[in-house]
Amino acid sequence: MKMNKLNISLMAIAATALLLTSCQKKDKNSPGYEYMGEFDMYRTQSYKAYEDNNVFPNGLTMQNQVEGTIPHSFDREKMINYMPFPYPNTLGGRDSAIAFLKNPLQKTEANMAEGERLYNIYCIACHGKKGMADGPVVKLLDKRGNMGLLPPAYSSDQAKNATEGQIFYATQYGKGNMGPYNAQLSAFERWQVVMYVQTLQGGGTSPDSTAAQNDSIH
Amino acid sequence: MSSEKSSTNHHLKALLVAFFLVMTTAFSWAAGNPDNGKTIFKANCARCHYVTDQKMIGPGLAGVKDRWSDEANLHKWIKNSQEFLKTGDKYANDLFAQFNSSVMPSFNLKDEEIADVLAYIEKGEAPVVTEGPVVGPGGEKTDSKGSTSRNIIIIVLVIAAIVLLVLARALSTVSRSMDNISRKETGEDLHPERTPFDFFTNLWKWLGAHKKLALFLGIILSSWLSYEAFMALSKLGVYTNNKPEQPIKFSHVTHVKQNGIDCKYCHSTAEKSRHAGIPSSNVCMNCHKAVNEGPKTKRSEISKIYAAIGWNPVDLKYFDNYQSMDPEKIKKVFKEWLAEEPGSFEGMEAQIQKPVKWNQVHVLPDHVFFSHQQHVKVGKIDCAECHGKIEEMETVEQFAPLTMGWCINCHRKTEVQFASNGYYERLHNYYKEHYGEYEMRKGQAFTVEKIGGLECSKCHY
Repeated sequence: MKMNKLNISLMAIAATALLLTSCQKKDKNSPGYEYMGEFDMYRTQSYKAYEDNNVFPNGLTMQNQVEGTIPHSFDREKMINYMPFPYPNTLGGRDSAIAFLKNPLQKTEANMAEGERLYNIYCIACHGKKGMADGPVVKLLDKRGNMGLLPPAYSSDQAKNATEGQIFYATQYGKGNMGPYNAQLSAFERWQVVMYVQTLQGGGTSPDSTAAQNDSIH
Repeated sequence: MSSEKSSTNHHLKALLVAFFLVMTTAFSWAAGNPDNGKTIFKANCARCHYVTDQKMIGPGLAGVKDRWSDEANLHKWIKNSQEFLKTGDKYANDLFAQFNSSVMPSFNLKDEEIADVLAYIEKGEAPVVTEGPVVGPGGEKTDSKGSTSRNIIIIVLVIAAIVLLVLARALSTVSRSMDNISRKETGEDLHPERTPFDFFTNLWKWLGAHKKLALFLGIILSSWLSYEAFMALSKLGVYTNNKPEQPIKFSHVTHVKQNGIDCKYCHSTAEKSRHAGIPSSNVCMNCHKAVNEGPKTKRSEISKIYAAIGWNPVDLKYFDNYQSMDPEKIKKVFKEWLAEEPGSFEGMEAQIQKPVKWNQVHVLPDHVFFSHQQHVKVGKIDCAECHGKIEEMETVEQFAPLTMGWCINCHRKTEVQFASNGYYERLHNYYKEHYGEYEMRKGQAFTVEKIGGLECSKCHY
C-alpha cells in the first residue's frame, strides 16, 4: 500500500518534469518545430547557397567564377562588368590607369542619379555626404582616437585633381585603408559612382568645400 | 688700421648675423606649434600613420625625428617621397620596401607646417583612457536567461504543490485513523480502506449524480482543449522571434545605429540576387583593417574575422598562403595579439582557417520561392518593412511571421511601383494602351494582386 503511494508521487513528479522539458527547445539555434520537415517538400535535398558542401575542396557551396569568365552576351553593361581589368595592381599599373583609363559610360542624368544613390550607400559612411571626409564612421572613430579610416576630402590637394581613371583604380584595388569595392559593386556601377564623385571634386566650386579646405590646411 | 678693424668688425657682424639666422631657423624647427600640427596631421597624415609607434599603412611616427639622421632629408621625403627615393638614401629605401612599396603621396606643405606636424608628433596624443561609454546600453539581457529563471519559478511552484498535496493526503489519513479509533469505541462502521484511485472513483460517482453539470463541464473542457491544439499546430513552422546565437557577436546597434552604415553596404546582393547576402569577410575588412578593437568586445570578436580571412593583425597584412599554413604558427600570432584579453584566444581558436558559419535567422521552407531582388530593387520596399528595427537588435531576430497569409496580405495592399521603374515599363505601357490609365486603376489602388501577386505559381513552382 505504502509502496503504491510512493510510486504515484514519483510518477507525478516524473510527469511534471516531462511536461516542463517538452516545452523547451533542445537546440537554441534551431528555429523550432515544423510539419514533416525533411520528409516533405519543406527541406529538399538540394544544396543551398550558404550550405556546407563536401564536393568542393574548400567546403563551400558558393564558388567563385572560373577566372576570366565572360558571359556570352553583347549587352553593354555585361561587357563592361566582365571584361578583365587590364591595369595590374602595381605602381606602373596605377600610373597608366591614371593616364589612360576612361569612363565608358555617357554622362546621362540616369547614370548620375544612380551614381549618387550608390555613393550614398557605399561611400558616404567614410567620405561623407559631400566628400568632405565627414562620414558617420569617421566621426565616431575620431572620438575614439582612431583616424585610420579618415579619407582625404575630395577638395583637398591630393584628391581634387584625381582623374576618373585614378578614382576607378581605387575602387578596383583599394587605396591605403580603403578596401577594394569590386566585390560589392560591378564595374558598371562603379563607373556611375566615379561620375558622381567627379561632381563632388568640383575643383573647389562649391563654396562650403573651399571653406573646409582652408580650415583643415591653414 | 681702422679700416682693417672695421673689416674684421664687418666679418664678425656677418658671422653673428649668420649665427643668429642659423640659430633662429634651428629654433623655429623645434618650436613648431603642435595644435596647428594636429589639424595638418589629421588632414594629411592620419589615414596612413598613427602618432604612436603602431604601424598602419605607414610606420607609426613616435620618435620619427630620432630615426632620420638629417631633418632636411625628412622634409624632402615628406614633400616628395618618390623623388627622394631616387637619391638612394638607404633608410628611405629600406622603409619603402618594408611597407610593401606603398607610395607616400607628395605633400605640398611649407617647412613651418612640417615643423608643426613634427612638433605635434613629438608631443603625442594623450591616450584615450576610457572608451566604453561611447556606446549606449552596456550589456544585453539575453532572453534565454529570462526564460530559465521563469522555468525555475515554475519548477519551485510545482514542487510546492506536490508537497502540499502529500501533506493534505497525510493529514486526511491521520484524521481518518483518529476518527476510526473513536468509531471503534462507539461501534460505528469504519472508514473503508483507501485505494490510490479513490479520487477518480469518487469523481465518477459525483459526475453520475450531476449529469447536466457534467455535460456542461465536458463541453467547455473539450472545446478549450481543441482550441489549444489548434493554436499549437498553427505555430508549427512559424518562427517569429527566432533568435539564434551567432558565431561572432556582431551588433547591428553598433554598425547601423551608431556608425550609420547602410544595410546594403554589407548586404549588397539584396538588389542583385534572391539572397540579401551574408557579407563575406573581405567586406568586414573594408573597415576592420583599421578598426581592430570594438567598443564593447575589444579584440575578441574582431579577431574571429581575422582568423577566418587570414589577416595578420600584428604585421598588418594578409598571411601568405593562409589556407595551407601551419595552424600552430597562426595560433602563435593570435595568442600574442590577444595576450591582454584572457579567454579571447580560446573563443576564437576554432575560427582559424575556417569560414564564419552564421546561423540562419529567417528560414523559409524550400517549396516557396522568394527573391530579395524583386522586392528591394523592383518593388522598392524598405528593409525594415519585413525585418523590423534591425538597428536596435544586438542579436538579430525574426520580426515578421513569414507565413503565407502574411505574404498574401501584403500583396493585396501594396501598390505596384510603376513610376520611373524600368522593370514595369512595358507592362505599364501595355495596360495604358489597352485599358487607359483610368480604366486600369478603376479608381482603386493598383496592387500587386492585380498583376498576379496571388497566383500560386508566382511563388510555388
